Amino acid sequence: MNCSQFEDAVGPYLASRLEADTLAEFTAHSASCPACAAVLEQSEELRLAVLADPVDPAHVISAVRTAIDPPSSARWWLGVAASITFAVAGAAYWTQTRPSPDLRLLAAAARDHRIEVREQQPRHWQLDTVGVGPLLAAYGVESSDLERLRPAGFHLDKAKQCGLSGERVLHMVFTDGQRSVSVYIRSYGARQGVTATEEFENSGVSEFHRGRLSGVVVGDNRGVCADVVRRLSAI
Amino acid sequence: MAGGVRQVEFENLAIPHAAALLRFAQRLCGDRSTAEDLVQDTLLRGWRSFGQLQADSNPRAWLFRILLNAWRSEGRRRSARPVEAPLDRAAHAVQTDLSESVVVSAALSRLSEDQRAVLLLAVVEGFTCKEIASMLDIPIGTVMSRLGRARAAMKESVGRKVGTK
Ligand SMILES: [Zn+2]
Repeated sequence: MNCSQFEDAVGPYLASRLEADTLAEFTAHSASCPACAAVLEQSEELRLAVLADPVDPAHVISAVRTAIDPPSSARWWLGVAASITFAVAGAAYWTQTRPSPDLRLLAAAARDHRIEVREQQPRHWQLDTVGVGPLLAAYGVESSDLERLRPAGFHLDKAKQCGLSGERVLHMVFTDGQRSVSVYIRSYGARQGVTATEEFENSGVSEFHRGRLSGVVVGDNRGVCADVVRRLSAI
Repeated sequence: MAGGVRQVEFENLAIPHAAALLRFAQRLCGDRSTAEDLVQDTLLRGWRSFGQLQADSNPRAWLFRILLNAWRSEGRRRSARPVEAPLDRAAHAVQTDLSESVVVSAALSRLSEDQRAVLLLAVVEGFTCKEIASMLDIPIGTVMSRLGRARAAMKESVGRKVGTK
């Protein structure tokens, strides 16, 4: 990889979009070329500054929904009829109509879990309650949520903010000392339900939107991921 | 229901990117309400042309392309103002050095709009120069030279302010 290819790869690298072989070339170039290492550092700084912008698209989304599908009295009645049907159909609804997963997001999460948790490349983690508390609060995660999420024998090991597919998310890591599971919380999500567990980077990965929380679960194996996904239904 | 399955498909595809579009638009336009209008316009244009989206294309790139077209076609550049860093970010700044990010934001706001757009698309949104060239309908060489000039200008103005510490 030369300097110009490196510069082109900086953005995709920061967004966890590089494939394993390109990633290796990228890391090697960064270690041997001070000019490119400086470009990377400057870019990371800029990216963190912009990703920290407060953004709330709820207002825009509701305006778009209204424009696409304006509410009317007739439709209101249809809505009531539909919700009665759904109530009768019961809890089976979401298991029958699983949302299709955003595979790019799942792949980015699995890659992030591999690099930051399994390979333990150094990152700035919050390790104690003083650091973790406000971080979880900023994403609406309550301590009761943690209790419900964590598989038996696991505890919350660490947390930090992290970029996933260009989005700022909360990254929490639970561990039982041997296995780990990453839970990524997004500040906004659209898909109600839980997707089927996919496999990326030898990890089990699911996307979820349950109640107040939405994000991605990555387990060291499918079993750990499925365990957390099951627990999510209690939230 | 009028929107039906197609609307659900569109929302599943587009809404996960709404926050990123809005963040990009805020930095591009310089104020929140112009940015919200721009993203609303983008999503509605996206909804109208949703049928033409190829199954294998990248929805994120598609939406950014629509946003950039909307931004250019409606002469929003004329009303664009220098971008100030949003101040109510305390809850989001847990891991970011605030003073440093203010310096970076100020430097970003001094770039030309063309340079700022390319730099944000590359560094923050993670697109390659080739993807950006196709989004903006300009040659890849132009993207690379804008990106190079933007990086140099950022280095120059951030370096000057942070150099004293
Ligand atoms: Zn180099």
